[in-house]
Amino acid sequence: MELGKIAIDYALSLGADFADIRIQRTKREFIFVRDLNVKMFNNDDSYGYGIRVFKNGAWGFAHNKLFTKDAVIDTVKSAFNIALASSEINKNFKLQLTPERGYIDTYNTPVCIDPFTISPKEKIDQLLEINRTLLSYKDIKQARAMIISQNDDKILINSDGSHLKINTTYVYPSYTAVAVNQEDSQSRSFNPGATAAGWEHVINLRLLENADRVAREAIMKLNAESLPGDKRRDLVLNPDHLALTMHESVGHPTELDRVLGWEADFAGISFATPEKLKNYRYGAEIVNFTANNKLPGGMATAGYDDDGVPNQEWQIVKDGILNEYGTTRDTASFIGQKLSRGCNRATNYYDMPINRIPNLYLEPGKKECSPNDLISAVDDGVMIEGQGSFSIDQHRINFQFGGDMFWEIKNGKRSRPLKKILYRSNNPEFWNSVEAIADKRFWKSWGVNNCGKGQPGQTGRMTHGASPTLFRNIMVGGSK
Amino acid sequence: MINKLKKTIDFIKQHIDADDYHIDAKVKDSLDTRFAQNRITQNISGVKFEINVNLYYGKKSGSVTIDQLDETAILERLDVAKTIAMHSSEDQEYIPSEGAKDFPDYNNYDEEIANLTVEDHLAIIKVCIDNALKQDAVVSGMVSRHVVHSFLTTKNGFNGQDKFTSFEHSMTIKKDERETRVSRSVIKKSLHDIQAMLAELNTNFQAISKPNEMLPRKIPVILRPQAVIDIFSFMSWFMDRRGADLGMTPFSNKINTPIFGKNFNMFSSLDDDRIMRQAFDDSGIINKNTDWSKDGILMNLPTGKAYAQQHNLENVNHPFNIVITGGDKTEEEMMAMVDEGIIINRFWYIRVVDGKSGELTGLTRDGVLYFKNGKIEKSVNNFRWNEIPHDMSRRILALGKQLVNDTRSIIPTMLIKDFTLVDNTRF
Repeated sequence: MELGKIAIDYALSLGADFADIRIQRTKREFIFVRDLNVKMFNNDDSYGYGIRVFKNGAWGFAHNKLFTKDAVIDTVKSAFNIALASSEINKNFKLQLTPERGYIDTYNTPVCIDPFTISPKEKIDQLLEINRTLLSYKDIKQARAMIISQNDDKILINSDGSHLKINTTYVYPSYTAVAVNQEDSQSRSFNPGATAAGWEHVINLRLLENADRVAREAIMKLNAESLPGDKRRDLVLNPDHLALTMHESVGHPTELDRVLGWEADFAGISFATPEKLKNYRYGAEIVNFTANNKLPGGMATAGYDDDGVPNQEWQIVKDGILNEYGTTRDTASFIGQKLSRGCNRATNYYDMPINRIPNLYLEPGKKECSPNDLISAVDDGVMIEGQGSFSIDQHRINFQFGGDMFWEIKNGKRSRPLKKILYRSNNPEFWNSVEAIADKRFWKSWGVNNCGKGQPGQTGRMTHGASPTLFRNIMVGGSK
Repeated sequence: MINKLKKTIDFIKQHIDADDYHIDAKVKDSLDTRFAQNRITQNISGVKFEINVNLYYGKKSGSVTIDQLDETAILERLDVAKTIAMHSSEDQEYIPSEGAKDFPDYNNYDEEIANLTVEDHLAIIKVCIDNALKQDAVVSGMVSRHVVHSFLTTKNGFNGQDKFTSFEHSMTIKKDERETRVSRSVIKKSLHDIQAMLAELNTNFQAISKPNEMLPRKIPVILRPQAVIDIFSFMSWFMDRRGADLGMTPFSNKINTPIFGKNFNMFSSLDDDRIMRQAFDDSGIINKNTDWSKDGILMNLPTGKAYAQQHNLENVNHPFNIVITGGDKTEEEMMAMVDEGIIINRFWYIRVVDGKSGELTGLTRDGVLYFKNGKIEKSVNNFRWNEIPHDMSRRILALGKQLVNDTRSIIPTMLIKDFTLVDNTRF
């Protein structure tokens, strides 16, 4: 704490326009069991601090893990000197920070059972039992199961007067069965996504109870047929599938740093440029995407972002129209916004925060509607569960997705299983083809823990959500 | 820092009571400067270190990372690893850690890279920005330098250390709908030629105009080195003996059979000092020159030591670098060899579509040029493609000169027949 104050005071004494220090300890446990063998049980613990200094329209960032006064002073100096040197280049193209007041606050993920208090044996036994169940089917040739538990304990102090203590925890179990015969190999997973919660969430997922179904569906998929050729068909997409589609085709294109071209050399830019705000038809009128970093269980829910901006709720797409972006303090002013939406987040203490997708979800349909209602409205289509192959261009227009499980829909009924299904579409065709969304009874969230972005690379966290949704007339076919 | 780390490793070794152990430690000193739209957006400096300790009690194991150097914290972390191992279940595939070995000392360290400063990075970026401004364009990119010291030690006597440097420079120039990119990463600063990079960037940029619409189809393509390594390095990720033997990949029962094109030779080499050469892998197993495809025949698949022992096979390390043999054809000569085609700078967002067949999907990026009758005719939109890399290698019509593309690859340009474009984009 004292060192935090020393850092900020020293940065200001050097002439910093803004400075912050983020002291962060990250504990991460990763357990991986393959074919009844414990291949990995790793416990990571990283602890250090990152200091940002903003001077004359440029950032400097330095990190360290030595907690002495001298080390902190040296780290501030390094960040300040980098900012000062960078500001020479930026003199005609300065960055600007939107203002923010200071906050003194605490946030803790609501946790009933700390996952780090569960014994290694209990965790391993559960994964072994899942392995045993999957491998009891003769066509299942490989079983994989894993659990990730992570806790981040942060203190953020900045020159606006903020002093924030943020403690977040998430758990993420999943497993996969691989079925193999002479001709083919197909897998099926139980993958509920990551959730900001304690071990109680893992208990509630009833992992083992789903293992028989997963093994049977892997075998079903192995013996299934694909669809001949590409053809326009209808799609019913489940929430655990749509999470990835919206992440790639709505989440990333509405990160303001991408819109401004800051990712032009790496992750890419965005078609959803500022002149389209409030007038571009992103989707059908019933399509509403809400950004909500206060979402209970949300992976981006943390009270505040790493700019010290409070978590908020806002509309990214409203009644089908592009409404707003996910912004940070150093991007928001470029489109005339007075305040940031609070989307600046770093992964580890040594990472500089970058513009991240917020918790982002598709609002459920307002009319009473069940998944069966959606299926009964389809003559020729496919229902997709879970996630598979995914690929999207660097402007976030053209995309191709697979899935984890596919069911043919014929004449309003879910019929046979399928395999190797792909759909290809683009923005704005895809979200404008939404005809119906199941109501809120069927809404489910799905948390991401590994969103890759940035140089050096970081893995961001956020949660998506949806109810099953009916898309009309999308190009669907089997793989090559 | 290096001496402190060595002392810490000694301290850890003295306080381990496990049957076996494996300790790897790394210190990484990095300076990463990002620029976008003609301004610096991030500039990051710092030293990271991390010690990974794997303890084995019988066939049970537990591992922890240690990133604090005080003795109390270290002992607590060792206790965590022991507790995990004691409560864990056996790994029937456990094999003892590597013993003492001799290995060559490859020099991957360059003092000039190690001494690069923030000011050096900014000077490079200023040249890039000035070049863009002259063309009324914007440039975005990255300049990075890394100095890494790594140590690996085991209970059975393996003691290895390595130090290496790398320098990365990329730039994407953009004006309206014209956009292209050049990037290099090198292990010696003398291999970084900024004027050559700018000349390549400007030539590509001048060749590109507003993209014309072109529909997808099978068509000859000239893949520049970045595109070639993009697709074949992705393929190498699922070249695995265990997966192949289980029937999960296209390489099942294919060793010593001709599944690649006859003129496709891919190998990992310890003989070329322009790219990273590592004496041993993460477990301490010595790297060797390894052929992956020789005259189109699949020669080897990476085979883990445990799996190799179980199945009486030879252990084969994963590709530590990739070299693909080139030829002597220029792009102009390649264009003259076919009626028409497109030139692809690099690929983007490659993913597996079907693991069994090895089918991948991806997109083109950074400018696509259509040529006809031996001449570039126009810029065209980007495409989505679905291809099977080993199948594609059977359609190689010509190979160009090799380029040191990055710290781990030496790659030629390729002319490929009937490349499968499946969709087009709107830019």
